[in-house]
Amino acid sequence: MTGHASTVFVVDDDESFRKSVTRLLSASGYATECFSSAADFLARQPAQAKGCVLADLQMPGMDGIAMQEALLKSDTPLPVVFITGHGDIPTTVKAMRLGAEDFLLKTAPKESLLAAIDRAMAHDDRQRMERDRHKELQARFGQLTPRETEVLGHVLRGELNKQIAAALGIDERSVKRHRTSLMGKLEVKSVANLVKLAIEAGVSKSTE
Amino acid sequence: MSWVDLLWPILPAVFLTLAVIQGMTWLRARHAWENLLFSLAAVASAALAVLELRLMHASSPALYGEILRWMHVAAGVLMVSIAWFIHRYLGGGRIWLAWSVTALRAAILIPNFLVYPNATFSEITQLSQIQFMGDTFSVPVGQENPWRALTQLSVVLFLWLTIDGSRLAWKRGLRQRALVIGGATILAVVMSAVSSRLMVAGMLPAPLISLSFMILVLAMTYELSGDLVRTARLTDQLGVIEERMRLAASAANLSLWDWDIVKDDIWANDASFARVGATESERVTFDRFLQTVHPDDREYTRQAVHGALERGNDIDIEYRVVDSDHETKWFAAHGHVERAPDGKPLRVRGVTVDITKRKQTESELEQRRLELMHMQRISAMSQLSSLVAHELNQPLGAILRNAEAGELLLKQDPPDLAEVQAILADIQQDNRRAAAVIEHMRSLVKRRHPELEVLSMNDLIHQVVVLLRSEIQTHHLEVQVEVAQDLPKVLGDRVHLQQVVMNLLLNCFDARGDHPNDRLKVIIRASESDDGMVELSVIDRGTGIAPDKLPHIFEPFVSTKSKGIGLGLSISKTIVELQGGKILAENNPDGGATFRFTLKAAPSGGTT
Repeated sequence: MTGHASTVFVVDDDESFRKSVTRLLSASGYATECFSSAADFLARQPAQAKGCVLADLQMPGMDGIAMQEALLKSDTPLPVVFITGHGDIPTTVKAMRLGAEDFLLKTAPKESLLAAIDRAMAHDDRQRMERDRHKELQARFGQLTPRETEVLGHVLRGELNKQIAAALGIDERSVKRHRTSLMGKLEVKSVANLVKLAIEAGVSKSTE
Repeated sequence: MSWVDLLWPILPAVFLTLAVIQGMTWLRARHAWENLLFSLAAVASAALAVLELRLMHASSPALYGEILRWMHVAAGVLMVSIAWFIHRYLGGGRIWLAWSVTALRAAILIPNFLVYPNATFSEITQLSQIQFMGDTFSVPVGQENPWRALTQLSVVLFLWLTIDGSRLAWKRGLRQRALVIGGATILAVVMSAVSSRLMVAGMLPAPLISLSFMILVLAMTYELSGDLVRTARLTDQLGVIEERMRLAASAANLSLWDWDIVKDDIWANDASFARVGATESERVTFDRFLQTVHPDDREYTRQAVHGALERGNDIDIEYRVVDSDHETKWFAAHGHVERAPDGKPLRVRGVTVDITKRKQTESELEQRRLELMHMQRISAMSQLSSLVAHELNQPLGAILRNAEAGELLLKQDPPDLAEVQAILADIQQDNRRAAAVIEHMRSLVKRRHPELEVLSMNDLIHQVVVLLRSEIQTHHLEVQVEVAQDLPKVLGDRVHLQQVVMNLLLNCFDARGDHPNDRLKVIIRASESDDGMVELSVIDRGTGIAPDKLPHIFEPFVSTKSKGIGLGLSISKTIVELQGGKILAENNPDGGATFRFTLKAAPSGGTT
């Protein structure tokens, strides 16, 4: 949530096409930014960029696939929509496997192009939200003491307080106190919600 | 009736008969001077025989002297004709001897007619009677003329001439001729000299020259008739040879012809008359012949023939004829021009061959070659189909995006007309770009005959590099173009040469071997070669060519690639050689391979 508007980053070595697609996107109300090569884009892309990348598959130097591979290594990868003059099956498969948002011919109709860009942007928003939520949950679980984390593991396995106390070698009252404390820190009222949250944060397994 | 009266009248009859026969021969073959000389000698002998007979019956010393005077004339003619006969017939020898004999015999006639009574006697005082061959004849008694020495000198020279001629003929292998003619001549001369001597001594009534020379004339007749027999035999052989020639000519589909330029009359054997569509009785002139030639070849044929006549080379032409069945046939004619000593062409003899089949084969081969080249281009095109689509979809995509943007801009209020104008300009430019791509592709695919034009190497290379740009990127090639300064332009077919450069570049794509992701550097270099040709090299730093494939790399269906059909390089070779160049491949000492080909520099004009 950087506050920046979503932007379409156009990466294409063909100046004529780059210019025309920028015109269309601007006229359709998108913010755009242009790059004439993959290397240029990777070097200059804003740290907290929002939106999606519209990239030519065949470019001199680093091509589209290589650029996508580089992008995936960052923390906040932008979805990529590939456009190409001519697509062959192996390249398409490879691009999609690497998680390309879409794959379009340069001559595809405007509607397909804009729809793909919208989908990619929605995807970016969703990913961004998920990433934020994930971060927040990680922060909540991070507040737990080592003993509370231990107790959490046993609770998630559905054990009774008596069993937990026996397993940890402490008395039942201490177990109760730890449970109340960790549920307060994680802001949940019921064991059911606790389990849901733990699954969402992906900690259920790590505490086993 | 004595033997003399019986024999001597027969002699002139025999001489004259022989003279007429040989004279007739000469009349029909004017170059046969031997026959004329023989004829003259025979006539002179006949005259001598008549005069001798009269001499033997002379009634007074004055008459005797007068007859002897005329005998000198006849004997002179006889000796001179035989001298020249020997000179010619025995094959040369010292010509001054023949002239000397001629001059001496002419000189003898001067005292013969100026001094009384003749060149033999300075005075005949009386005639005495002697018995000779069973009858009584007159024998002169008188003073020997000192001019007689001239006669004797002429006899000596004549003998020398005969011996000289015979020796030459003998050396040259004409042994029989040397023996018969030489021997008979010497015998005749010796006999007449002896008989003259005896006459002067008063022991013979006359110099028995005609009788002596009868031997020689018979020997000459024998030899000349031998020649006639040989000629007849040759004629027979000629007939056989001609028949063989005719057979051979018809078997080989050859026609023989002979063009008399002075009379403008072309003789040809039957086959070719049938070909030119003229009847045998019709006179065929050069123009009549040209009428039978295909209209498209007529002017070329005329110029080729006239050119050969003027320059003095042989005629060598190929032309078409439309025969009576309206079928076009190809003929090749070769003719040798014979000239007068002043260089004026007199006649042309030659042969004409029907080469229709060969031409058909040639044209079929040419057709196959074009088809193969076409096929290879198609195969190269299919390799490039992705690139074609890519090249075309770039501008088409840009046009579409621009049009869509323009549409949106026009809906705005107020519309941004300046931007719309810029969009329209861009659309036009991209449209032209697309058209150029299509035009280029079309020219590559079209099956065509080579058209030579003056080309700049720089343009040629760049056109191909631009065409293959996308392929070059996909294959991670780094292409470096080096064109020498002031490089002459070349003469060649643009599309075909582009195909060659394209084939050589496409070849590099597969040269990288096991390192598909490394960048492969390729240098395209154009420079002037040592022999004044323009050379283009494609140098890569790839895996090189397998040594066992190197010698065969330009042969059809030998491929360096796993997927190739092995036609690219062989067709490149065909194209380059068709345009007068050479192509070769070699491995670089420091890795990779170099393909180079040469082209003829354009005759004149600018540089690349």
